Amino acid sequence: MTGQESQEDAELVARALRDAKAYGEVVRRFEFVLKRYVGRILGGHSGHAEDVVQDSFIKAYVNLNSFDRRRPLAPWLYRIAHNEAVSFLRKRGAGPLLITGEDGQLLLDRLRAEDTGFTLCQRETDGGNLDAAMADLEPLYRNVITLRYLEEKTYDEISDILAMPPGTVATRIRRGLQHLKTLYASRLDRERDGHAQT
Amino acid sequence: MRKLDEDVLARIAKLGLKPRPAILFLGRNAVFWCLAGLSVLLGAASFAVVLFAAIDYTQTGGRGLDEMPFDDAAMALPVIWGICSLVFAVSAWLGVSRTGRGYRYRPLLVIALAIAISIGLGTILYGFDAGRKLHTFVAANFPAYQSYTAIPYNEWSRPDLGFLGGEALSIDGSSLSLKAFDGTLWSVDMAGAEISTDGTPVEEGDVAIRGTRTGPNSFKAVSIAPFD
Repeated sequence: MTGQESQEDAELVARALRDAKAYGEVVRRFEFVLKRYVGRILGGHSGHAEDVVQDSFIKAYVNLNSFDRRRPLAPWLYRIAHNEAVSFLRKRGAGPLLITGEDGQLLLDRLRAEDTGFTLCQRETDGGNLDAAMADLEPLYRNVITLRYLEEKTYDEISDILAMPPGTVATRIRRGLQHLKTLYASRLDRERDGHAQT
Repeated sequence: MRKLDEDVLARIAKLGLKPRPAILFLGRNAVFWCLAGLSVLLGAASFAVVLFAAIDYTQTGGRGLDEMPFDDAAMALPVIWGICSLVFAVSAWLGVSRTGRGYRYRPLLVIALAIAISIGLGTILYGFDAGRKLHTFVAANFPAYQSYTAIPYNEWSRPDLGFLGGEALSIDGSSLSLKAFDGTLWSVDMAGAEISTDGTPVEEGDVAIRGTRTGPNSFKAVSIAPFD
């Protein structure tokens, strides 16, 4: 996020505060990324992503004056959407986030590209095992890994979205990757054992 | 195909929603910063009492902290005020964490900083005698407090064991009239006693006397020292 983008965000918010219709521009600019992110959190309930995002935009509008205009708008909106999605799941007593096979493959590609130690699998496509490993991961780690490797957010942005110190974000990403690697390796072992038996 | 922006604007119009005023958020932020500041201030006041108790105990007890058995040294510190200092440091963090960007600070860092400021500010407050004043105020208004603290006032209110403290009122020959910390009046025989006050005991004000009890309200002094 550049300083110029932050300034554009601040101007956009200032316009929206003067005229509600200008808020439509905020919705248009961020609806795609928020729907995608909320869909990833909702997993099996992703059919409700649009409703959750709509509620998030309404909540953001009502609280628009609490937005710090020196900061970028995206993390602030992500935070509201994240809280709305978590609240939606809590109300329904829903289970853990389950990313789709497509996201699993994307995640695997990005983890390999960033030299995170994901060289366990020789096959080019093994997103399915990573999906399952992600589903087994504790939510506190799953959230940061989703934001870092699927939403490609910086540590600073994740800190704003999840409302935690940047140092804690770094620690959770590091530990989360270790856990994910362990879970992923055990998935591969089980798969290998299955093949050997057949 | 639904258009989300149109749906959102339509709902805003239908519900007649308006952004909440900025002053509401600024006020909320200010309240939490004030609570954090107040917590640090209360922590500092608590530390001033800890400092007062520890220094007073070691000075009036006639022994340095290094010469004291551990139990005595532990008694010199009013635990309740130490706990208060920590509780206020944690509540300072709770205040900071609820401000606009407070979540970015590590809890342990904020708590450590609140403790450090409390210690610094508490030392300054101690310099202004705030520790003694606060202790005296709480002791006067909360009787239960006295039974849970072992601050020198208590130590020097044991005439049977040879410790008597209070305000020196007048001197008549070698007899000192003393108003003890519990408010009782005593006649103290100063003949032959080692007096280490600046000027007379009356000029000193509060004094700590070692010696032997000789009657219901009479005491034979061996030494008379300032109570500070």
